[in-house]
Amino acid sequence: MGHEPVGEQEFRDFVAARGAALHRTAYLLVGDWALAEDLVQTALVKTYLAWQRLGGIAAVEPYTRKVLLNTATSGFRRRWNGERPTGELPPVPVSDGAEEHAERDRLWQVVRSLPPRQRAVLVLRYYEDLSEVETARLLDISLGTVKSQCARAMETLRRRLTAEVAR
Amino acid sequence: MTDIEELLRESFAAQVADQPALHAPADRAIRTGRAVRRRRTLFGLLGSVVAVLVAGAGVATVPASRPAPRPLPSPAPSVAVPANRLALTMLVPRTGLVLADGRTVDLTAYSPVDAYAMSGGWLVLGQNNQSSLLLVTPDGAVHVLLRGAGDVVPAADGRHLAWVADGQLRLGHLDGVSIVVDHATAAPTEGIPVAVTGSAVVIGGTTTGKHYDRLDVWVPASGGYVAHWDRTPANVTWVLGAAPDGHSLLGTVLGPAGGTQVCLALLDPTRHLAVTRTACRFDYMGAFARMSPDGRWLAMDYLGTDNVMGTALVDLSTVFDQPRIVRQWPYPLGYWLDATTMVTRSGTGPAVRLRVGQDAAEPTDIPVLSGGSDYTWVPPPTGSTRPLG
Repeated sequence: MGHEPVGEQEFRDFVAARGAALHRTAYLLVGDWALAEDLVQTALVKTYLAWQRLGGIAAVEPYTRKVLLNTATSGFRRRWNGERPTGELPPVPVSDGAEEHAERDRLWQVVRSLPPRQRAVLVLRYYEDLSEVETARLLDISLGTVKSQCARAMETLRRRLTAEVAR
Repeated sequence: MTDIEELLRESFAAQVADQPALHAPADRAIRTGRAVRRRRTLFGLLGSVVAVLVAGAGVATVPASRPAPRPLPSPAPSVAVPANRLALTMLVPRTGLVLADGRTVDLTAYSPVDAYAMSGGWLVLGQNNQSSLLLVTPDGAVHVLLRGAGDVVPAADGRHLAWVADGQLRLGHLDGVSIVVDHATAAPTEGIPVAVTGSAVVIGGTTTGKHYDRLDVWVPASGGYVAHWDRTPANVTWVLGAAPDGHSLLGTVLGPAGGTQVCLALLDPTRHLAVTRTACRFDYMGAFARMSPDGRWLAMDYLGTDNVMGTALVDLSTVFDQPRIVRQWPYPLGYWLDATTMVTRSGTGPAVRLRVGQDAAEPTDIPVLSGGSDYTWVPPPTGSTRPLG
């Protein structure tokens, strides 16, 4: 067995440590585990190719996350696009004591119908618990755009959930 | 319903609770990465040949009377209609502008993220190159106005703007292709500028989706900014922008009937957003609105009684005397093409025109970029010199 090129062991260590977390974020961005794995692979390949010029492990994860987010919010829509929002939420069976669970599921259905960038803002703000400034930096958008995208997304969630309750 | 933000956190956590394992992600990435390196070595040579062929074809097909459009770098939008049929400038984030005549302005060095129509061209905010603030003039020239600027908010007059730089909140105006600082104060420790007239800057706290949690105002004529968040009326929920009278702001306030009722309001920035007029017959109004270039019409996000989200039009010359929606279209809020025409997207289909006097939308030849390119339209330079403040 020959020697691995410089940096490959560090790359493996990085993937072992952070791969699962990236996979979870990717799933929330695209709504499908298999597609999320593709997205993570895309980000990891770019990270691998950029490894040498990133210069240190501290720069690696921000880079990978940025690639993941940019890819998810731009052209990475192959299978996701096949799943169109219906305008009406599918009925969710509710059993005794499961109202909270059903409400979470209804919310998730609406989140999945949001435009990619709005979804990304919500994931970064409410799953990753990032500040608005950190969210703007990761998505390469202005702070004002983060605020407006978040506001639009939250309005949509409230509107759709309220409409469901009223129905 | 529990608080929606908490519900969102719970929902996200629940969705990823049963995570499947990744299959040898590092090995796969390394294998693919090595293959990509090999391909790059090979196609680096071929690519230069293809570039020469494409450049040759471009010279042969572009009429000599017009400058040859410079293609945007990859990922390039595909604009499949004749360039002279374009009606609005497009911002392709992180890439550049596609001007109304089809010429492209490559701004990749600045990574543009936002663009606004101003009186002398388009104000473009770049993330790279020290957060550059650029002015792109109609001839396609790029002028760097500022570096290190953040939280830029242009006024509706197309001349004034507020921004934060070097620990200061500044209010200034465009003078040709340069920027003049008229007033400066210590930047707020909380909040960012969210709306501006020539004489006041509104500062917003965080948004909760339905409203700003709080609002404050800096009026330079009264001196430096001192935070007085508690002076803004509690029922003021949003600031839409400058009103056509030049000194008031248009905003929204909670309606007296409670519930989902929202009122359109005129706010006085010199009296801490005191509410001077209201129009209250709207059950639901969104946070986004765009005023027509002549200041007569306000198009806004609206949820009708049939729960259909669309665009509602009100006549600002009469709405505070006769509050009513003049027109309601089942299309997303678009961009004003001129004083009476708005252009918007129709779902995944082509763009449509919405005219003030008509219910039905009209088809357009304005292209929608293909290939999943993210972009926004930017109205033409305002040319307006309507005085503010």
